[in-house]
Amino acid sequence: METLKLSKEELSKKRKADFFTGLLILFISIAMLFESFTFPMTDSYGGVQNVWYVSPALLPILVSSLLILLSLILIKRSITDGGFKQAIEDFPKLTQTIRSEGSRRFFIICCYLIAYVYGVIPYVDFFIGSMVFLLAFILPFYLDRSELFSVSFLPFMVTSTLIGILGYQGMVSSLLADIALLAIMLFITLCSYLKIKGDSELFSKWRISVMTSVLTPLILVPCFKFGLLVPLPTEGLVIKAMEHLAYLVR
Amino acid sequence: MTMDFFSNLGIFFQTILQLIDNPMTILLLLGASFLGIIFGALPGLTATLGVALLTTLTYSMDLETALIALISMYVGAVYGGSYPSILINIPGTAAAAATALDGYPMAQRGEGGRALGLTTTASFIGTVVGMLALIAFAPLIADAALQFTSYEFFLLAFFGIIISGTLTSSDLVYKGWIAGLIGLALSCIGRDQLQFYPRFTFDLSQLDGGIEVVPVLIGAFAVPQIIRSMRDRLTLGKPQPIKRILPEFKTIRKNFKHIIRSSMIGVGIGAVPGVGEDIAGWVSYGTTKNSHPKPENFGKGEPAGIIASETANNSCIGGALIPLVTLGIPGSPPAVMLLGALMLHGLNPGPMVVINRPTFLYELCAIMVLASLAMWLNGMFLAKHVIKVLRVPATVFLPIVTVLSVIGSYALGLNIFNLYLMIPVGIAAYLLGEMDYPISPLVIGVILGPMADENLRRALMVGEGDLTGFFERPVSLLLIAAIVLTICSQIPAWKRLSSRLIARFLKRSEGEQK
Repeated sequence: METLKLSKEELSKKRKADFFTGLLILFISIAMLFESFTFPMTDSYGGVQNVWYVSPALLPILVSSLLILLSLILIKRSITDGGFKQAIEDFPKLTQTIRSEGSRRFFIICCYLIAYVYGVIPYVDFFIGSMVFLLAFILPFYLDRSELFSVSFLPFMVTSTLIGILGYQGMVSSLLADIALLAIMLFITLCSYLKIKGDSELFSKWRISVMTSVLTPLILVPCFKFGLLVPLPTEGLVIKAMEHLAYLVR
Repeated sequence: MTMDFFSNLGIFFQTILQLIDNPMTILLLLGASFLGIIFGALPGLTATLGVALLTTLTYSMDLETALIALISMYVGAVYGGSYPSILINIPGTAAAAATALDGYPMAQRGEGGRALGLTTTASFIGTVVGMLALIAFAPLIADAALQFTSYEFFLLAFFGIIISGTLTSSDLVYKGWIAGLIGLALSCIGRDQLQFYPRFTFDLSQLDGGIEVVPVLIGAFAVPQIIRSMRDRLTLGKPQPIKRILPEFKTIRKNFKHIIRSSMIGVGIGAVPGVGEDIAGWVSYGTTKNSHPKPENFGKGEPAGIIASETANNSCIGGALIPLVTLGIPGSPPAVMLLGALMLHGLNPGPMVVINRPTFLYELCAIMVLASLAMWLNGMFLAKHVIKVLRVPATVFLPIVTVLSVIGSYALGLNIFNLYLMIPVGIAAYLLGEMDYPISPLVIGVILGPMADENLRRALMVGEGDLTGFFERPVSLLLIAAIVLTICSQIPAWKRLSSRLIARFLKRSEGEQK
């Protein structure tokens, strides 16, 4: 459905990206094809003599060959539409593109997601981890103040990266990680409050952010843990306390 | 035959009675439908995402209860997208984009309540017509599909990927095919089903079982949505005020022929793999405009425009379920997610479903009727409350969606590795989406990959490596022709040749007429 009529400039910009993706897909597909040829084709595997038409390599070879063909077509199209030329012309402006507002925001959002999933979730109590993640993520975006990134994004990133690295090497206890993130929660709450102090509109948004970050895990955790009986990725300080409370109530 | 019809009708009504006999079921129907409307109404959230996140809450439910929740959410979300379209001129979902063209001008002249009433009734009728199409066509297709062998199943999976790539790509068609093939490549990861040989596992034991479908689906649909909406500072305008919401039966009666045509368009488009409610809405809107006596009124608040778009996008649901139930190939992105959910609950849709669970289709239809009724009731009586949700900023609810996506992906198999997979898949899906690669063919590729792999090798095993088997069966030949035609139609030389042939044919027929 090539329904959209693009201007020459827009087209070459789009084809510039296509040129790079075409190359990337070509490279990965060739690697996939080579790897597929290492799968048993006619030799024996697990005591069974193989024949080419039942080989586990059959679909990967078919798929990688088609991907190679299509990526070559994509590269050729991108060269014809001026994408390659645009790529060479724009190469000096690469840092400018990376520093653009959209790229910066994309990079920050990805960092939040990566830090939460790889750094926090495996080592910190799910309640605490989600609460701090929500506060650090909502505050700068909802209040739309760039100065808040320094008091929410940076502390969250540094702590979660440290916890992630130390946790991976087995050098941090769950309790210590929980306490560290609780301290970060306190730090973000206080610092952000000081930054927006005096502005009633921002204060109301700040209050909503703090409430959302506390209420969300407060609702979600009991629902999953006690309602759906799904154990959470890491159960530490708060979830253990909830468990004791639930035991007492029962 | 007649006896069969009455016995099936009996099962249908019996299921409805059983469902409404249980107050918890009614509560679930209304609750999931309401949640669906909210998901549809909030720009940044979609029907697919709603079904994906709700799936995680249905793990502990039995299949019937899970289906009630998921179908109600699906129907509600497709309908809910019309709220912001009408009231703030921002479509809540892509499916409701065409609704904004006439809905917003109506709201601007103080007829927001009327527009919402029309949307509600049109969506209800659309869903019911979609259900009727499902009940009429699914048994026929399922009967035919029972004759399918490995040859047809491999070609069907391949055709599903190719056609969805062709129709969902907004830029170059082969970008859609590349997306589908990437999905197929991802499905190759893990030990193969016939010989248990580890493929592309990089010696990671977590990859031995292959890639889990639900984390990939959540990653591919939720993460790009979160990144895009947070990046773009999505802010919503103040909703237009609305008065009373009435069912607008009179206007509906007046536009009856548009309703029938739009429903048929919705069902037809829904049945095509991977092509969803958004395309149905636009095609139906365009067709109604072209056939309307006053096309100049479209875009200025013409009720027929709203009816066309909303009937089509809701009837698309029934259409999308036809290939899902009968062939195991999802017709739309939310249906992809629904397929994942059904597999999770131990039901593998496809031709064998009529044998393994003969009453499934009628249960599904009964649930659809009740879901559309729940949607209508919610729309008529709770619309004013839903509008309040439009005030919730995306920057607050999207981080919550992130936490829900994380816990949803984890809850399946209680495996943190699923989360490690979800994030790269999501970021890759976002980057691909930014470069105009459609995501539906990718996830369809992931889902249909095992079917394609197993059946290709089985088919070749039957023929001992001889490929002629593919050309000896009529359905197989038909599918090969469809695949070849779809691919050839994108080749410039073929396009030139076919347009030349058509021009010559038209010239000759004109000459004969003279």
